[in-house]
Amino acid sequence: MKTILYINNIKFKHIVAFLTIVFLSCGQIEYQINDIETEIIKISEHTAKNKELEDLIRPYKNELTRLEKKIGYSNESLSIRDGKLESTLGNLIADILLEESNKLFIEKYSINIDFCLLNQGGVRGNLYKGDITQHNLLTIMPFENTSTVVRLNGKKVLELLQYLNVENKAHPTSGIKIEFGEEKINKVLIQNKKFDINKSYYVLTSNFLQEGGDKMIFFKDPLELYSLNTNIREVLVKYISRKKNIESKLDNRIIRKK
Amino acid sequence: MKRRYFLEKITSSTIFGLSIPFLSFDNINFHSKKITILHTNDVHSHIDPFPPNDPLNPNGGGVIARAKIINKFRKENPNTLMFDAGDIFQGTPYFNFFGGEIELKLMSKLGYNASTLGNHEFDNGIKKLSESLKYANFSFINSNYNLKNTPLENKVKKYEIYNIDEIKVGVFGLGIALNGLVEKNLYNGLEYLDPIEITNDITYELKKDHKCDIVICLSHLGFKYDQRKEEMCDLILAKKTKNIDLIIGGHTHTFMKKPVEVTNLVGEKVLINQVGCFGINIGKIDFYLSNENMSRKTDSIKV
Repeated sequence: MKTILYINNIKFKHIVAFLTIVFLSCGQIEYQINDIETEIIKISEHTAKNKELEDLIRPYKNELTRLEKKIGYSNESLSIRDGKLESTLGNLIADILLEESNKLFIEKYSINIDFCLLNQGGVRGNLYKGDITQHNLLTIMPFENTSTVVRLNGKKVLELLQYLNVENKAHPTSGIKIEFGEEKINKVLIQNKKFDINKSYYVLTSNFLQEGGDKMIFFKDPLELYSLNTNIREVLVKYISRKKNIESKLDNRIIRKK
Repeated sequence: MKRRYFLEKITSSTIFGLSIPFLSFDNINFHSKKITILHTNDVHSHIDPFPPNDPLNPNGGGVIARAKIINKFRKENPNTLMFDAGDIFQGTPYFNFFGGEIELKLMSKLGYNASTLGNHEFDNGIKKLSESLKYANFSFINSNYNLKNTPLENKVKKYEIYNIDEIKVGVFGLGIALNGLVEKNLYNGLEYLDPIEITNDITYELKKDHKCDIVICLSHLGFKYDQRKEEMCDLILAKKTKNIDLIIGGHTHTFMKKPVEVTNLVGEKVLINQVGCFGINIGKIDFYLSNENMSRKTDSIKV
């Protein structure tokens, strides 16, 4: 698309320019912006060739080929942006992380984790239909974040719910169902039980968010803090390698009724 | 396409009309000038094009395709500058495995003149970032991070001025507050300074002291935040400052259809442009300048 923002009558200007030359002796030259023309170009020529750049990229690319090994399979392409307050890829990631971390948590502490909240910004790519590779997963979750469990009092969980209400984004969640109204929070189920502000909850997240990342300040200063020290991406890699076939769908876990 | 033809026709016919009869005035160079600015933001280590089965951008982006377009534009106008608005790093295994080396080497080959610092540049820590800068033959510009006594001290420029075909282009850079975006221990010692105050100082210096004809801000502040209206962003920056002609933005991965025009503190127009992310798009801004005191910039006639 090309947009022309300012256009003057250039012919008129040049007549004036000529007169200026005639009547003024040569002084300090100062330039002024007259017109600006803009264009945003989509880069799509994937068949373009450039030997110099290809030679530069090759050794790096070759080292990454070991990441191309198939670890699983997906019948559909999954995205972090295919729903309003949830997404197929976000649901998959949060569900896997909660299931796997809960096993570990029970084993270590004999406590059940109530729910999981991650951030949409932590998921950077799509899962492609067909073979799943480690390369693909590294693109989806490039960060070296580890899973962390916090025990929050009911008031902090309410802050969390209010944050989700205001953010209005598809942050990945699992173990929690929320119905927002136009502006307020209508209904919240945690592990299929009504949210109780007088109770405390065990919430699974990443170390990045626990430290206040993405302005999730309710995770700071929890009642209890457990670092599981497992890389979130590695949890996914192990799970997919074991299960082979991956599926996910939107299930209205977080909705807004207007 | 018609619009483009229209403008080119006018420009070439008037240059023709002017230069033939008044050849003797060539020494005072009374022609109009054209400076092209190319820009990207938030490329996030995307070196290869997207695969053909990507649901949103099949075969899109890719550094080699980008190089081809850049070369074409440079051929059309050698008076071209190329900038990035930050978040070069993080997003593909190229970064996880090689820490930004290949991204910076490729940008150097592509002829980037400068980039500003995005928050993800700090993902491996300020020390590793500082070490990786040896792979870049272009400048890093940031004006609102106090980097004294950090590994980045003296490696990042406050601003840069390009003299290109008699036109002075002043470029400065603004980074986002890293608190809440980057773990504290990854940017130890870095102090975030208020972008508005810094901008008014620097743009004054660039426009009035150094007589820059064009002032560009490379910003990683983000275009705007709908849920947090008070948060510093390019829209607020543009409204509350003066002497900026163009803000090249990033961080919010905003795919604009065309640049956004904003009226600044003193009623002048500022352009904000941002081209999404992952090297899917490239932005091109052509500035047409002349040395007559006839600018009617604020009239803004849209064609």
